[in-house]
Amino acid sequence: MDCDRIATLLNAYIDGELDLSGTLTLEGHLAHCRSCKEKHDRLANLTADLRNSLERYPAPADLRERMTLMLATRPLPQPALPPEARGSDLVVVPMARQERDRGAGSRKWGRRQFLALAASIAGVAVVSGATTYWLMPHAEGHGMAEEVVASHIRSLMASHLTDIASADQHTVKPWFDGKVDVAPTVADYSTQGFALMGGRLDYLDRRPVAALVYRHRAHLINMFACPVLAGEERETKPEALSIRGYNVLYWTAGDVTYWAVSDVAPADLQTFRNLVQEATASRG
Amino acid sequence: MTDPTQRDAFEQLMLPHLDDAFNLARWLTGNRSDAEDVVQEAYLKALKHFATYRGPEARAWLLTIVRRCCFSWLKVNRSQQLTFMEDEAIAEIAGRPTVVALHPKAVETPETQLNDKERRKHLNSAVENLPLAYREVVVLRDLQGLSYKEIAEIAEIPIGTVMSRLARGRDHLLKHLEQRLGGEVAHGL
Repeated sequence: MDCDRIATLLNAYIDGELDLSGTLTLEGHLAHCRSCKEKHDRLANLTADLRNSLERYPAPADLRERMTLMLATRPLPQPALPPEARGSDLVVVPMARQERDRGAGSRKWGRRQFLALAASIAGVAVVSGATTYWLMPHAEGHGMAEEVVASHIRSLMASHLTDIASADQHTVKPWFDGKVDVAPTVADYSTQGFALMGGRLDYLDRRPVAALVYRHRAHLINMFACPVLAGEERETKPEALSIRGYNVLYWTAGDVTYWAVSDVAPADLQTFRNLVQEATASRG
Repeated sequence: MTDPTQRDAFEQLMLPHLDDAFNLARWLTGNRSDAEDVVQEAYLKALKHFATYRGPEARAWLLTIVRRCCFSWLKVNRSQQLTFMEDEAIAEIAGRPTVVALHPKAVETPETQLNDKERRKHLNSAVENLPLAYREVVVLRDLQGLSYKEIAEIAEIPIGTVMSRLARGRDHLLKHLEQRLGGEVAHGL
């Protein structure tokens, strides 16, 4: 193969995009062509430098706030505003999301709702704010966590969030009998802000697992219960990861490794994990 | 899209990619406030067309829209860059080498002894001054770490073109940086 053609392939090779036969051809050529080898080294250095030194511009906090506001307000039909709100700066303020979710009949706009919304926006900015996002440990190569995030996303997309929709643990738990190897701890923590929405059969790490769905304010949490197989290392220390903007937390209790995934704040996910751990412990 | 479930799904699928969306817009428009406007517009469009989203790659889907919005913006505000991009594309098809004139402000006196901060500055400025067609693939690949397939989808070009543009873009960077900073440039950043 001539050096000109090699030059184009070099980039794909460095980027890990070359197929096996191309890789073999290229490596054969590099072994005896000094000038191509030198080009390879220069390119490899350049890409490493670009990766390390190019500026990453995280979304400014005010943009994030605007996006959150837009999402909260935009898709809703415009509610009729009470006369006292007209002409005041409260007009632009949407109802707090919780109110909407409850389908609250009263659509009064007031300072209280405004404060509630402001607080929830501040939460979002801190939660998924740029700093948090970039500072989280990179989870590249964490296959299981990637699978967990992919399952979470799939569950949000299709109309397949739950197979059994119920807030009653005594309905959800027996539903899993015979379907999965290990039964998860099923409990409703709605008084603590994490409401059980139901359960679903999912498939992770090449086996069927129980998935429980919880709602925390406007956010959904998927929790998967995976069996710890004999001979597998039991990691009891919880691990937190951030993958593509989603937070993942996993911990082991007995023969079950729990994976919780959501776009809630890492701290909220930890609160959730504590609740599950307490419930698991109290049931022995 | 008035269904709250849909809206929640949109929020949970698309909001986590706000940093990536902004980063791309910032590199393509060249400044913060225009990038903010473009991203906001892109999210509105994405929301409007969310029903056409089939997944599973939310990031690539969103970035395709962000990129389109950037290009609409560039068409109005930086039409020279787009004309230049077409020239590049024609040259690429014809297999001719293209002459790249980097922005004059990037040209300073060569120095071989530069500290890390200055080297970073030079590298960033070199990428900022790359022609648009190369800049976008370099940013998507080397900064955002996307695969060729994802880049092809986002930039709406064939994978082969992704590969050749990356090759040319990186060649420009190597030439420019080595000329500017001496032979050691790419080895110490």
